Amino acid sequence: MTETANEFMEKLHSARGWEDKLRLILKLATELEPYPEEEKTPENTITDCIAEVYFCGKRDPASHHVHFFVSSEVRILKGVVAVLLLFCQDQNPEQLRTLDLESIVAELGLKQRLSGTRHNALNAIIQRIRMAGANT
Amino acid sequence: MSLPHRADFPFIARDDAICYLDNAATTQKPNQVLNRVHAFDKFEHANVYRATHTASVQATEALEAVREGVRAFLNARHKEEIIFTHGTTSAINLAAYSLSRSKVKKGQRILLGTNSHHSNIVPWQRIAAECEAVLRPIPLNSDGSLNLDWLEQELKNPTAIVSVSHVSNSAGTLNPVEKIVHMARKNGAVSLIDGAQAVSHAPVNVQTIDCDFYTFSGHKLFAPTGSGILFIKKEHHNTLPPWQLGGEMVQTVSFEDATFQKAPTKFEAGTPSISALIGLGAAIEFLNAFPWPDWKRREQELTHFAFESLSQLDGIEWAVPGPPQAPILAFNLQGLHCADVSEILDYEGVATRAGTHCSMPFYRALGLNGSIRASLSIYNNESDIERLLNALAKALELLR
Repeated sequence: MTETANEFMEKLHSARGWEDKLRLILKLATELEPYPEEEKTPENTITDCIAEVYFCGKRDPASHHVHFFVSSEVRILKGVVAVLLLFCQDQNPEQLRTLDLESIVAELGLKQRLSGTRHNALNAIIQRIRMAGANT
Repeated sequence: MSLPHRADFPFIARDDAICYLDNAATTQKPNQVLNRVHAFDKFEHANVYRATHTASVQATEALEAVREGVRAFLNARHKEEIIFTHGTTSAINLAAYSLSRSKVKKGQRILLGTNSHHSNIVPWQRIAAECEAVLRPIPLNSDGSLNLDWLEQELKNPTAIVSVSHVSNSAGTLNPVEKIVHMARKNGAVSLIDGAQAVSHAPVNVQTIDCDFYTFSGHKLFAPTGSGILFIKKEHHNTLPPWQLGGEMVQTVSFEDATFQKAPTKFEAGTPSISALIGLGAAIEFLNAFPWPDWKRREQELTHFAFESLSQLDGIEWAVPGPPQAPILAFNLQGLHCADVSEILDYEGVATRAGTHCSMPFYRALGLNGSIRASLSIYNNESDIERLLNALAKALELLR
């Protein structure tokens, strides 16, 4: 876990109520780097019946660290993924394998888990992060 | 006015109840339905139409009383015109399959309302491909209604089927079904009306509509899931082949051949969802206790209140203009994705739906990627609308 991830989680824990937590998460989404246009491909599409969501990871050939990008019209989903990226950005596959991403989502302290198809899209993204950790 | 009480619906009446505004997806059940189903399952459960013992005879009688209740509810002429199905989707699949084997010819048109549910599109797509028929959507006018001038012109081509919803599940538009059925009939086409979103809001009279098929689901009419109805006009009973095979619908079987019963049994393969259908019967009895004019007046009053209050919201964009004719309100908040908004509504205990509501072609025609849908039922009240408004205000505050 990087210092930034720790700092963010501390801020989140000290926030009052789900509204303030959500504000922090939404703000984090705005700080993400843009998603590369050329990676808006069918393989990188996360199936969600209403929103356009893309997710991809690029592995550095030398260090094997994986750099992830996310694009989502749904800002809450994008924010939750942005939190996950604090933990898993530029990690090597071995480090990715040790992360318990579901627990991080549970720790966010939103009033409940993401509902319906958002929840499915998030699970699909967690699977993809895990796959990036598996393909050594 | 004589109307149901919120206390009749345990899901709605409990102290910590969510604000339930997803009635177009499924309705909550009153005690009258819950208790009837429970009693049937506990003390009366037996298979039907296989009467070699008393419990089976009684279960059969109870189920046939439901058929009579549905006949009266739809004002069908004959009881055997009422076919039990598992819901609207299976009913449309039945109709589509049977028509594909008896009615649809190569090159004929199958015309579908653009504001249809996917279940009233996809089964027709398959049979159009199989029969080499031509599937065409009836386009929308700018107000979201179906373009009947286009339909008039298109019907000059040989047309097998016209299938539309009675009320649009996405935007509450009431389609002029009597007119559409009349136009279809005049041109030799059969008509199917998907009544899933209509039956809980206004009386339906299949003789006045004069359609060949009419269908609805029990679970959108205060009854259990797994119960549904397909009305098939009697004149089609002999020409339509059955869809699924097996069970009581079989008359004689050898390994070379089988013969089938008459309608309605012919179209009811396997054991029906007996207790769900008993629940549907109880739901119709429940509805029958209230005069339709009172029911409609109350729903219209609440829909009007919801439409007027929501229209005051900063940046509200209605999916289709004007107040809806049925209590289904589809809208967006300018600049916000409906999935983000509905997520916050959910955090605030307000259940709505976001997306394309199983009507992707409709939303594509409107140029929208979806909407929030708040759909009301008879047990909703003004305080539910206030909760929705407060939750939307919170969504605006957090997301803008």
